[in-house]
Amino acid sequence: MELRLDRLTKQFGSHIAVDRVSFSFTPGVYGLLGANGAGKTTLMRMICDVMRPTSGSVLFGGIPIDQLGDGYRARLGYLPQDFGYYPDFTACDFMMYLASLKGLTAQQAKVRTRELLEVVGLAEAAKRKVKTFSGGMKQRLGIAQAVLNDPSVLVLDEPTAGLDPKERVRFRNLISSLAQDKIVILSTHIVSDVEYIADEILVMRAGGIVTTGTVDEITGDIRGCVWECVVTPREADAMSASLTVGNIHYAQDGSAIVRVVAQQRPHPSARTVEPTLEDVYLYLFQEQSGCLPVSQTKAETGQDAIARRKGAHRG
Amino acid sequence: MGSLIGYELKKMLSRRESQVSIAAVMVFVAVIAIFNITSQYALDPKEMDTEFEGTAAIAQNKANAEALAGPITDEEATETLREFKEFVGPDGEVKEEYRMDRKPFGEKTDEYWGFRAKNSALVALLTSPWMQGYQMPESVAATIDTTGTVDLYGQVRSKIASELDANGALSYNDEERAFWSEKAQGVHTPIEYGYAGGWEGFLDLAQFLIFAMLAVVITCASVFNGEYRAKTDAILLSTKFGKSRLGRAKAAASVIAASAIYWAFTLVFLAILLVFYGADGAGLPIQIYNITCTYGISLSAAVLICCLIGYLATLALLGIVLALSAKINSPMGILAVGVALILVPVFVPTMTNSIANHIIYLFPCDALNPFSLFDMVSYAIGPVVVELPVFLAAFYLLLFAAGITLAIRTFKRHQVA
Repeated sequence: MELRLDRLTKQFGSHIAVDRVSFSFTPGVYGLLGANGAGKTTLMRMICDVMRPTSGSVLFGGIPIDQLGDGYRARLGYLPQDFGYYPDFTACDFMMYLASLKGLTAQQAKVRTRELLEVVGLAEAAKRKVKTFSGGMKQRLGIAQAVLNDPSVLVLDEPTAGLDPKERVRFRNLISSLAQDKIVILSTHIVSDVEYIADEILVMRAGGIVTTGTVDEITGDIRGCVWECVVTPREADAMSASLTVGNIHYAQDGSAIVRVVAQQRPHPSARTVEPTLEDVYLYLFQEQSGCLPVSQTKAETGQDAIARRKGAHRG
Repeated sequence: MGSLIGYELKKMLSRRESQVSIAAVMVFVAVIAIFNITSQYALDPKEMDTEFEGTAAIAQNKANAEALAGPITDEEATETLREFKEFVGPDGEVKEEYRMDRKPFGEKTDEYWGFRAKNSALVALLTSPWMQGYQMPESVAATIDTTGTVDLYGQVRSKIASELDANGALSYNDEERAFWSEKAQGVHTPIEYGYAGGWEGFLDLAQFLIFAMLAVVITCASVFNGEYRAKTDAILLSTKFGKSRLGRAKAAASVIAASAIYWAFTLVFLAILLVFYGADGAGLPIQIYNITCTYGISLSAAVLICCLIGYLATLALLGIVLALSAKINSPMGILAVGVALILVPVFVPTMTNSIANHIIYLFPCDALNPFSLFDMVSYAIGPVVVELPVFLAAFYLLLFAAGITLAIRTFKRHQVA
């Protein structure tokens, strides 16, 4: 089973939202990382056949999805970002309605609805109207509907937005449990959402995929570039203004522990530490944030190295 | 498909605006019908200067019509017109001794009061073929020669012929003239007179059916764009049947809802009128409502045709509303278009331009006016002449089919934004 993006492009007027993206998905969990406006949602909408590409195509099993039509969508599950509900429907109504649209028989729909509401912890609220649900409950209902048809391709666009930390952990575990033998594409700008569950990370910037790989591969590319140092608060402020600073922790003794992503040792007291995905994210998006002007040239060199390692994703 | 339609109906009818509009039109229909009933009046033939109102007036009018029931032959018409003319002077005014328009009454007013109390509806009908524009029966009667037997049906044919030859609000080509002349000859004479208050009352008020259409517009305006605004479109369109069965289910649910609203409104309206006025006279000819009508149909058939045309107009509006709903995000914009199509022609006066009038007749408000619907309105397509009800039926069905098709296609191609 392969889902392939072939030079997929979407242009709105003069703005290119997705720029000639090519990529092949096979079963596994893919974390799509990127800042707001990077093109993640547009890319996912095209994958889900609810937005037509300006050029290029999405192929499932080697056949363009617009040719497969109902047949492709029958194998698709989609949880869009910021999606709506019918306030007067109960959770059960909502699931049964979508089950009809997904082609399940009435009997299958009843069984799946009961099972999935149990899985997402909404069994007790099955007969409650959706308008009485909290944000977290709505998101859980959203994921439940997305997997009603046991999809081969599951697309989740910012599924943890608006959830509290406990719900986000629960949600991640839920996705992991549902992901077996599926292509799961999960977009987020919250790095920790995908750090533990994604088999492969795709980082998008300005409509293109700038790097891909496992968490270890991607973090390995900046090994030696992540530093931690103990400095004075004044030095910490100066570093924030000029370098890509991840975390600053002000200790009780008046010092500041600063985590920095930089090519060169940022402070005599700095020592290298193991990079995380969040460090990679900061590293890749430092240009946008305007950070690290001193080491920008080197940083760009680092990005290019990452891009070279995984090959170009702009066709 | 059945369950999808059920869910679509649930979505549609659970919207507050739908519930309010449906409740409002049902209250409105009751108010119109009751107001119509309470505003009826009739003269008491036994006691001068006394009038009946409401249901008593309906009972009196029914008794009057039943007393005069039977075929209106030339002889019967002549006798009634002669009797009427006894009260009218050569100037077309009621003679001084019979006048009842101001007090003190004339010395013989009681005789005229008694005649009018029983015969006013029949006299209005019998004088109408001689009527030019808006005239009182008294002034018309003064011009009718009753020295011999009047040729009532000859006068009807003459009036029809003069209307066909006049180039006024409507103009006719030779095929149309031949068509209407032949149709007029097909009307059975002498016509049968009798009581048909319920059926006539419905025809008088048929234009109020536009309010059911208004409720349909409000209920169905959000069928497609409601999904765009609620941001449910992304989930729906990514499902297996999101781009195929869903559009059809939405269209089918809309047709069911529109049909239910329209027929509930219409049947409640008709039922109230038939309960209070009675269902008598269903088989009487439409000519007792309009003697120059060229359609050889009964009053109940005319009511049925009116209801069916109203239903098809509702479906046509539904088609337009759904097509707009799939394309335009704003329900207010759709509502504005719907209201304009329904209500604006009400305020457009009859024009002297025949083409303009032929266009105006296509709007629901005019289509539901029995004096337009059963008038000599035709559309000539080459040598083929199509009368208004048939043309409207075809036109509305075409609009409905085109609208529904466009709506489903637009929804299918909708791109989530």
